[in-house]
Amino acid sequence: MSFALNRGEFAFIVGPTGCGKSTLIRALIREVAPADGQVLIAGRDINRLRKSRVPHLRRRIGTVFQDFKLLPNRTVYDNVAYALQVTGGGRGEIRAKVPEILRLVGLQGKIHNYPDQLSGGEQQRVSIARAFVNHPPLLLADEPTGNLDPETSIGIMQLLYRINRTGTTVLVATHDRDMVDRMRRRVLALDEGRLVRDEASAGYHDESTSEFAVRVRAEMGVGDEGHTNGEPSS
Amino acid sequence: MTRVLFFIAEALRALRRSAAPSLAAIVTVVLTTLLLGVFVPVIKASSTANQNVRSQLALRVFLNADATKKQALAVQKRINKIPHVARTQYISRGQGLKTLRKEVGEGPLSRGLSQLNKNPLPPSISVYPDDPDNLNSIQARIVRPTANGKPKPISPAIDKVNSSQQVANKIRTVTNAVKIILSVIAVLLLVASLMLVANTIRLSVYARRREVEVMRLVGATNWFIRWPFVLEGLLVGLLGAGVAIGLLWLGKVTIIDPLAENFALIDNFSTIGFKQLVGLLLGSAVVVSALGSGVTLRRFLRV
Repeated sequence: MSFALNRGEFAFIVGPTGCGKSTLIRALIREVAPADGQVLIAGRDINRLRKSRVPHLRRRIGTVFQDFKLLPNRTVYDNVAYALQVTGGGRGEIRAKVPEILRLVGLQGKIHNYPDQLSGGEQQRVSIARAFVNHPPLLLADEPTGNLDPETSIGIMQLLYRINRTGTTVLVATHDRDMVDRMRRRVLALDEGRLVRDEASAGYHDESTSEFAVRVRAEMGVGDEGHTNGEPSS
Repeated sequence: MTRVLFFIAEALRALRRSAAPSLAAIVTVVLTTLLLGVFVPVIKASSTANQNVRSQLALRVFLNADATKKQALAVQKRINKIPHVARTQYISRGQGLKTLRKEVGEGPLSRGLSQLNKNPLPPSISVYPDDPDNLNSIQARIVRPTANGKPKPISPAIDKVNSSQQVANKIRTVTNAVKIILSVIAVLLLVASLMLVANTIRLSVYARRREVEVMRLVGATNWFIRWPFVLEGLLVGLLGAGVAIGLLWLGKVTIIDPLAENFALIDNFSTIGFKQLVGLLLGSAVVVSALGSGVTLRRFLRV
């Protein structure tokens, strides 16, 4: 398969279970190496990086997973701060960045809660906050809405879209065809490890985050109550 | 600095969370260090004892009782020419008796000696080798074994040659056995503590696989991930060694020191100094625990 993502693009990878969506995501963070071919990020072949540089590559890529991968014995704040701590962030940096990112994902009121006190959608927001706290230029999400109900999923997608609008390239792997169809963004369809379809954003137009949310909600037939990401819903 | 604090906090957090295996590892390290602290001085003392005995080894060449001083000196001269002979000493009949009297001291034996109306001792020559290992070759040069089996001494005045080698060999066998047994026990204990430290770290890695996964995801460097585990192992080692050294010091102050004042024997053994011993024990505890963590991290923490 061969495809290229442009800077600032929002794209989906779809396909049935086992078609290689997750493997593709893992290849992008060099968790697995492809047997053949190249993975270029910002023009560099990541499989030719020295092993000691791999952590630095991962700092420039945010990753979000279906099962959140939060640390259960740390608070929301500490979970996000952990990402900064382990990459050598100082105390001042942590104090400045963590509350800001938690406000962005709409969890400013739950800073001191533990993950098991949060709903699935809120946990996924923490995980997105952790992935995005360093403002990486590329955000990968592997089934970010796989465990969530449709309404919560829209909230998460809205959040990812908002992150995309700050200039971050976002690549989402999902099997939620409905959601993908309504998002009207570029879609890469995989089947058995091959790229079978690459649809450039049908009917794509630049819309604000709230316009986006309203449209998607309307198309999916759910009300506009629920998460607003701290923005007044219009 | 924040990093170091982070590592230490993580290591302590891990130790607290897996208290039981950590405690088992610490106790094993305490026992190992304690026994090592006893064995090392004992091994050291037994080898010095062995060396003392070996340095006193000599050949006694007994001459015929009626050998004249002139003959004796001629024999001494010939022995002096044998290679590896460091020095020789002629002991006349009178001198021999005097030494015997001194060695026997007062008692029934000395009364028995004074009842003798004639000196029963033959004149002799003590032969000191440059190295105890050469005793046999020197003896062979003084009394040449011949084809018909009857040994032939280099001078007809020589009656027989006694060697203290047999005694020395016995002492050496005993001290060597003690050394080998103690060393084997020490090595087994070291292996046991190494494995227990390794096991503690393994449980810790297992308990924290989510943390490790997250650290890798957000791009922590490999050594950043490893350090808390290495520190945890080192803490186990240092805690164990610290307790053991405390106990050893207590034992030294309450048992060995008062004994050493009363018995010149203990004081006389040239053994290892306490400071050196502490250094050695701390060093081995650190090496063992670092190895234990290292082995585990190589096997179970693929980063």
